[in-house]
Amino acid sequence: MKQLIAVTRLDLRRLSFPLLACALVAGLTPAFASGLGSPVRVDAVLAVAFIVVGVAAGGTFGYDFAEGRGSFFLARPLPAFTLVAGRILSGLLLAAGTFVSVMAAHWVSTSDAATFHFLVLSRTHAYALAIAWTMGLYLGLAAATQARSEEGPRSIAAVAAVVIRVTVILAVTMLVFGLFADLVLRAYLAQGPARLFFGSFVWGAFAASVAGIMAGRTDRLRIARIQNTVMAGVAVVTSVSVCGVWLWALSPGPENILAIKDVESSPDGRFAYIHASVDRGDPTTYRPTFIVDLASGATRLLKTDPFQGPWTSADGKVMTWAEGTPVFFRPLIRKVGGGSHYRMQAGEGLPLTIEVPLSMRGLFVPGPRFLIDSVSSITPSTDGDLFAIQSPRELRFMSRTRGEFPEVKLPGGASARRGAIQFLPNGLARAATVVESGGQSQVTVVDIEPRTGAVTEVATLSATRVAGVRFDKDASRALISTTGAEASRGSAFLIQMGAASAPREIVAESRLPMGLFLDDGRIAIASGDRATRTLQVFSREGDLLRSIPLREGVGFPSIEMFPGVVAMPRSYNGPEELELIDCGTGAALRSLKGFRAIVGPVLGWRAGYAPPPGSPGARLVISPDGSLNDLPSLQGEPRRIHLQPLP
Amino acid sequence: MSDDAVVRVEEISVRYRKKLVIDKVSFEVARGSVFALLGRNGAGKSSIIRCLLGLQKPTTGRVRVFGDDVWAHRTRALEKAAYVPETFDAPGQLRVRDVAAYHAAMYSAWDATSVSARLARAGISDVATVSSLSKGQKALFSLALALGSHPQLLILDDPTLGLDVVARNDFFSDFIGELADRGTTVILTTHDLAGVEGIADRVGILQGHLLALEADVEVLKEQRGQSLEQIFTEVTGSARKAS
Repeated sequence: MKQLIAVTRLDLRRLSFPLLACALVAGLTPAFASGLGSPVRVDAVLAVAFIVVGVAAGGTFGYDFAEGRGSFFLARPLPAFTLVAGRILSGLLLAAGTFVSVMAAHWVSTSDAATFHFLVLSRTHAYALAIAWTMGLYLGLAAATQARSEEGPRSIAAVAAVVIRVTVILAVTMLVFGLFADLVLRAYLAQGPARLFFGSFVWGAFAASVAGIMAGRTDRLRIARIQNTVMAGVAVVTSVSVCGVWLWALSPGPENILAIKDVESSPDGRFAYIHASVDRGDPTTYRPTFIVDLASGATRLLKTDPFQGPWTSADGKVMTWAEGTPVFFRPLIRKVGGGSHYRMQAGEGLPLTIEVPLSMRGLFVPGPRFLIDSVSSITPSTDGDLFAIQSPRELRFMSRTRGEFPEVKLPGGASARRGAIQFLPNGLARAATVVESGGQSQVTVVDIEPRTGAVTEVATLSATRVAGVRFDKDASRALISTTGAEASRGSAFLIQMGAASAPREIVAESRLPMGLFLDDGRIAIASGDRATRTLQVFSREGDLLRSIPLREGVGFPSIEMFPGVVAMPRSYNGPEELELIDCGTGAALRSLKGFRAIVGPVLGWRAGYAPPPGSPGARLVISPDGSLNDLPSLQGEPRRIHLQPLP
Repeated sequence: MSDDAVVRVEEISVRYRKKLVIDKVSFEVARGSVFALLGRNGAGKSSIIRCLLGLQKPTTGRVRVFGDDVWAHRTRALEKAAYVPETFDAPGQLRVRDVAAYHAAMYSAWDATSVSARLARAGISDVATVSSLSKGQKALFSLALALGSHPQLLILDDPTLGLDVVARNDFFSDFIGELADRGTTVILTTHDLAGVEGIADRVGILQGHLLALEADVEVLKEQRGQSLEQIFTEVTGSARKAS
C-alpha cells in the first residue's frame, strides 16, 4: 500500500498542476461561449477534459519507459503490478481533481446559478477517460520503446519490405473496417457491435501495454515485441471474427428464418418475395430477402440492400435488385471494372450487372447531392432491355443494348412526388407525378418516350392532399386517393386514360378511401370511420355496384385473393384477423384468426401489377407464428409452405 | 562456485534482434567485495547491469542475486540491493524531496537522516527540482538515494561518466567512505580505471561479447607488473587486433 501511494503521489506531483490549471480554464468555457452566443455544455467540456487527462496520464506512464528512463521505477523493489495500479489510481484522482476544478470554475463563472448542478457525469465520461488513458499508455509506450535508435543505412530490399508491409497492413485494415461497417449497416444497426469491435482494440491495447510492462520491464525490445504480438493477435482475432460474422450473418438460409414479416408476390403469382427475421443479426432491423418458388417451396437468399428490390416487370419474368455487395468497396469494385451493384435476371438466366447513371450512384456522389440521389427503384420492361431508374430527384431510362437515355423532364421537376413507372405495350412508359402547392395537389399522368425523354401529358387532376396514385395492371386507369383538408373528408378519383371525360370522384367526404382494381376491372374501395366503415364496389367505369358494411376494425383490401374475393385485415379487441369478402354478393365468407395476407398494389405508390386471383402468389397468408401458408381454397385450411434450401 | 557469492552470473547471453552483445558470460561476486566490470563502449556492460537488476531477461542463462533468480524474484532481490544509474533518470520536474519520499516508500529500512546529511554535504536543496541539479549533484543525489536503504549490494553503472575531476573524486571518496563503513558488496562499471583501481577487489574485462579476463586486481597487477589501465588496454587492444 505504501508503494502504491508513493507511485500515485509521484504521478500527481508531476501532472496535477498543469492539468488542474487547464481544467480551471476549461471550466470557464461554458460561460465564455454563452457570452459569445454559442452555448457549450459543461458535460461536453468535462468529456474533453477527461480525454486530455487520460492521454496525459496514460501517455506519461508509457513514455516513462523510453531509453534511459525506465529504471527509475523498476530498479527498486516495486512490483510491476503496483506500478500499474498506482498509475491507474493517479489517473482517477487526476480526473476527480479535474472534475472539481471544471465545476468550480463553471460555478463561479455561470450567471444562471439556478440551473447549476453537479450531477453531469455519465458513462460517456468514464469511457472517455478510460479509452484516452489506455490509448495514451499504448501510444506513449510504443513511442518510448519502438522509436528507432541509430541504425545504418537501409538496403533497397529492406525499404521495399517496409513499403510492402505497410501496404498490406493498410489494405487489411481497410478491408476489415469496410466489412465491419458493412456488417453493422446491414445486420447489426445498434451500438453493441461497434462497442465490441472498437472495445476489442482498446482492451487489446490495455492488455498489450500492461503485459509489455509486466513482462518486458525496461527491455524496450521485449516490451515492443510483446505490445506488437498482443495487438497483432487482437487484430487477427478481430479480423477473422469480422470476416467470419460477415459471411455468417449475411448469408442465412431458409432454415435460419424465425418469422416472416412481409411478403410480396411476383406478378405471375409463381414466386413469393419474403422479408424475414432470422436467427442472426439485429432482430428489429435485419430483414434479409428470400425468393420462394411456390410450387416446390425451394427458397434462396436474394442478397439485396435493404429496401432495394426485388422489382419486377409486368409479367414477372424480369427482376432487378441492388446486390448487397460491401458498401464501402463499391467505388473500388467499379474502378477495377466490376461495374455497378445493380443486377437483373431474366427468367432462369444468370444475374447480369446493369449500369445506373452516374448521378444516381448514391452514397458516393460527392457534393450536396450526397444521399438523395441514390436509386429508389429500377423497373424493368418485359423484354429485359429497358429500365426505368428512379431516384428521389430524377427519372432516367437505360437500355442494356443502347445505353443511357436523356434525362426526363417531368412536371414539377425534382420536387415532385412520383409513383411507380409502368411500361405500356407501345413502348412508352406511364408515370404519375404529384406537385404540392398550398395544400393542393396537382396530379399529372404522363407518357414518356424513353429514348428521347419526350413527355406527353395524358391526364391531370387537382385535389386536396393526394395520398396515393396507382394504375391498374395495364395502366389504362388510375385510382387516386386523397385525405382532404381534414382526415375525415377524403376522396377517391378514377381517371380513364385516353377518354375525353374528366376525372371522376367516385368516393367523396369519407375517411381514408383506399382500394384496388379487381382482376375483372371492377374497383373495391374501403372508407369511413372505424365503426362505420364500408367496402364499396364500382364498375369499370366507376359506377357504384354495391356498398358492403364492414365489421368494426376492418381495414382496407389487401389483395384480391380469389376471383372477386378480397382479403381485408381486421384488428379489433384481440389478435389480427383476415376477413375474406365477396365483392359480388357482399358476403363475409370467412375469417382467419391471426393470419395476414400479402399486401398487393393498394398502398401508396406501388406498381399496379398483382398476382392473378387464385394463383399461389395471391393465396399466401402469414400465420401467427410468422410462417408462410397457402390457402388452397375458400373452404380449405391454410397449409404451411415448407421452405427448402435450393439443392 | 563459492557459497558466499552474492551475485552469480550463469552463462548469460544477450541478443538485440540479430545482434549478439554478450555471449555466455559467467562470473561471481563474493559478499563484501568490489567487482569492477570493464569494457569499451558497447561491450555490453550496461546490458549485464540490467540483467543483474532483473530489468532485462537474458536471452539465455540466468542471474542469481542473493540466491534468487533475479528475473523471477526481482522485488525480493532488490529489497537488499540498490542501483546508481549511468544517468539519473528521475523525472526532471520533480523536487528532490519528492524523489526521496518515493524512495523511502520503496524500502522497508530507510535512513532518511543519512540521506539528508549527504544532500546537505553536496549542497542539494530539498526543494530544488531534479532538472535544476548539475550533473555532479545528480550523481551524488543518486548515490545518496542508493545508500539510504543500507543495501547489501550496490550496483553502479558508470556513475562518474561525464563528471569533472573534482566531482569524480568527490564521488569516489564518498563512495569509498561508505564502503569502509558498511562492507557492502559492490558491482560497478566505469571507464575511470584510475579511480576504480584503488577500490576494486576483482575485475572483469569484456571484449568481443565475452568476458575476456576475470581476476583479483592485486594478483593481476602483481602477475603482469602493469597498472589496471595498461592491462585493460592490452586486453582490449590485442583482442581488437586479433579480431
